[in-house]
Amino acid sequence: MSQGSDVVVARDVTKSFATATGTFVALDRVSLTVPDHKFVSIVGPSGCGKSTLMQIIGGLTAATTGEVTVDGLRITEPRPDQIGIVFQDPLLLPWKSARDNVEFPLALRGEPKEKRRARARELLAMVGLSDFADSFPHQLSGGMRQRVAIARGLVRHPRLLLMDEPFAALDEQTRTRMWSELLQIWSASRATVLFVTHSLVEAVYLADEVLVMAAKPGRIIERLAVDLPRPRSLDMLGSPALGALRNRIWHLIAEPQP
Amino acid sequence: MSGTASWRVRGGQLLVVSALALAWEFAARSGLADPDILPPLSKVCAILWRLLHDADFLADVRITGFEVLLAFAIVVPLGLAAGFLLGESQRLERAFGGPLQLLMSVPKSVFLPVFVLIFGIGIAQKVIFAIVLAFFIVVPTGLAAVHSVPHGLVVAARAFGATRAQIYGRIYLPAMAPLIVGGIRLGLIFVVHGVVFAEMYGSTGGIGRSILGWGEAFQMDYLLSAVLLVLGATVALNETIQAVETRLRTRNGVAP
Repeated sequence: MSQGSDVVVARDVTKSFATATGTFVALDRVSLTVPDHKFVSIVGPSGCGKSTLMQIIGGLTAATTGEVTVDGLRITEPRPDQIGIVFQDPLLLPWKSARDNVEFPLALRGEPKEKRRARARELLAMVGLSDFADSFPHQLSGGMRQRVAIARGLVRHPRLLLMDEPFAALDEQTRTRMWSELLQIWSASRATVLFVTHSLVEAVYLADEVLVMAAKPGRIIERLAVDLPRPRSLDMLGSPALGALRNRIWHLIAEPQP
Repeated sequence: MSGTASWRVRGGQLLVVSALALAWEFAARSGLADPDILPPLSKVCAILWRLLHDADFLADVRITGFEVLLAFAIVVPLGLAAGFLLGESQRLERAFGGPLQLLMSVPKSVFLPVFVLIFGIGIAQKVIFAIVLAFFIVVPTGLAAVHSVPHGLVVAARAFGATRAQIYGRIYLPAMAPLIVGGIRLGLIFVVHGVVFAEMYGSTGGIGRSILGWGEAFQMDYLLSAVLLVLGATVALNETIQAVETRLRTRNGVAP
């Protein structure tokens, strides 16, 4: 895998906070690469700094030391032209319809209404919400809200889609359905996805590669390739290959090597 | 609240008000209450109707209305802006939050004699007193409005490339709208309160002075008709603004 085909390159990213009892190291020299058009999961226990890492890659938080580049450009601030973000809470504007929420990043750029409308129509169709374009967030289910958020994340054709535990708040059935939909959306959009989760099965089922993190200090302890065939089907959830990977990650997280 | 439930509540309120009105009329006519102190409602209404065609009284209404509007137009933007600045700056809030709490708890009416000494008994005194009274009610509303902006929405807007001005215009403003309207409503109510109160304390015109005059002359029917007018106007304004507030709250996905 050559350097040129990596969308994300993080080098020695450290994030530390001053606290009353000393310095807290949230991330300790984290380096990673995300290859073009791949789906990469980051999985780890709570407090391992995976969300902080996402925020640094997204340009929402500055690293203490180290650097992140996306598509060759050093990230120091949000880059909505290159990076779309889907948060754990959908964070839709409650006073705007699903369509207007999807259009929001385009409206911020002052794009003409016709163009915005056309793009929003395209994306709402992609996430299966064409009939709900005029609905407001409080009229939609949790899964639908998150689909609107995904459409909004993709609206500017980003190279990279960052997803920060987007399905954590959904119930088991909705979440499982969302996996299939996300994989379809991903293959249609051709974006590279970096997906943070604390669910081991989710991390394995969706991804081409899984980065395993440990806490105290937050660091990446393993990088695993997922050699399940694509397209994935929900039947694979019971497959021995997936089970073996899941168990391997479980042991890595449960008994991290210092 | 669903539509039918809302109508049921409205119906209930109407019933209570009608019952009170009937009880008032009955108490006065049956001699249960002293008609000199509580004249029948029908008589009070008839006097109010006459007053509304009386040039002197209408001049008083205009004076009060002007004072209310002037004080309102000054205190609401001033109070909301002060509250906004306090809410946006942690340093300002630390510095002024305490003194503000302190001043809020001080009864402003005890300073009315001082206001009269400084500003006389003209329009300025009443407007300034009303502003001072309402200011300490509007500022906390402005402060609460800033605090009501969900931080996550600001982060999301930043992630999608919003500039600072866009964050204020497209996130802060709509998110704060219900509480801004709430501030407008409270400002109006307290301005009316302040103006009428100051007029009653010392004034050359206005509804407050009329009310005081009728009270001293023991003309309860006239006094009550003016009270009814102030009451009706305030309730109508309050309900109208409250309706807007509820609508905005529903739009923002917050249970009213």
